[in-house]
Amino acid sequence: MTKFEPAISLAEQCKWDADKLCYLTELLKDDSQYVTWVLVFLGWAITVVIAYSQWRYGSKSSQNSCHNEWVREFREKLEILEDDALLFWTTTNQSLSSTIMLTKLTRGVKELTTIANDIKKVGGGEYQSSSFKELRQSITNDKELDARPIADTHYRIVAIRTACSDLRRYYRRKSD
Amino acid sequence: MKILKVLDRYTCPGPRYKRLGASSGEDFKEWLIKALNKDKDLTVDLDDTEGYGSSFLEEAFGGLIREGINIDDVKNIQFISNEEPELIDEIKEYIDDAIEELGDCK
Repeated sequence: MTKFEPAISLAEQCKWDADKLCYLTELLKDDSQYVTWVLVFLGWAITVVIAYSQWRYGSKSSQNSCHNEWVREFREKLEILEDDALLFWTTTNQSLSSTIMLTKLTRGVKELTTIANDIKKVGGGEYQSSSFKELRQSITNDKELDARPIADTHYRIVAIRTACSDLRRYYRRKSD
Repeated sequence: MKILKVLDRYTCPGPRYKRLGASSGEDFKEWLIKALNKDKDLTVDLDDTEGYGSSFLEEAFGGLIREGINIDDVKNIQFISNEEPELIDEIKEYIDDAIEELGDCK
């Protein structure tokens, strides 16, 4: 005849102070607490999913905001550069010398290419090599310098407008 | 291999000719000729300046052909341009145009 042995309580099997891992493992083995544990882990899983999606959304939103800020600056500078270039090539009444003016226009092109690289870094479109080449050539080549002022229909004026228009069409704001 | 960094000489590349101002394409061309005479295996690093005008590039590289530098030596020049990669195409275009013009003159 076997002697009746009372059920050993959790507290008796493993003590928190003696063996923490054993205590926690025994807690998970407790049949009466399965529902509790499922709810606890489910709660954590949902929290992680929500936090991750919020982080992703915040990150994307911040990237878009950064992109749009660069695009705004790009378009403003492009507009100024186009106006200055058209004024330079179609008139001769600037206060600055043609050499200084061409240098200024050259710096303007470089500012745009720098911003275009920044736009690419924040997830914008690819750097527009061919448009920038056309822009630089149409604005900063001194080939017809002595022929200034040139007509509105001159190929150089058309080329400046086309390059600027291509870049404006490409670099646009993103919506969230 | 010799690497010529434009920034080491010009922060702001300037106009086509020396008579028009400092840091000209003509001045750069002379620097290139000296470098090519020392070492045919030349790489030009175009990054970190304040930008290039097309006239500067045309005079510097197309000008090498007009100066009578060996076409193969000019075509053999390598370029680094991470900031404005289109500069390399533009320079090659000026070299090809100058070669074509040279052919037309003969």
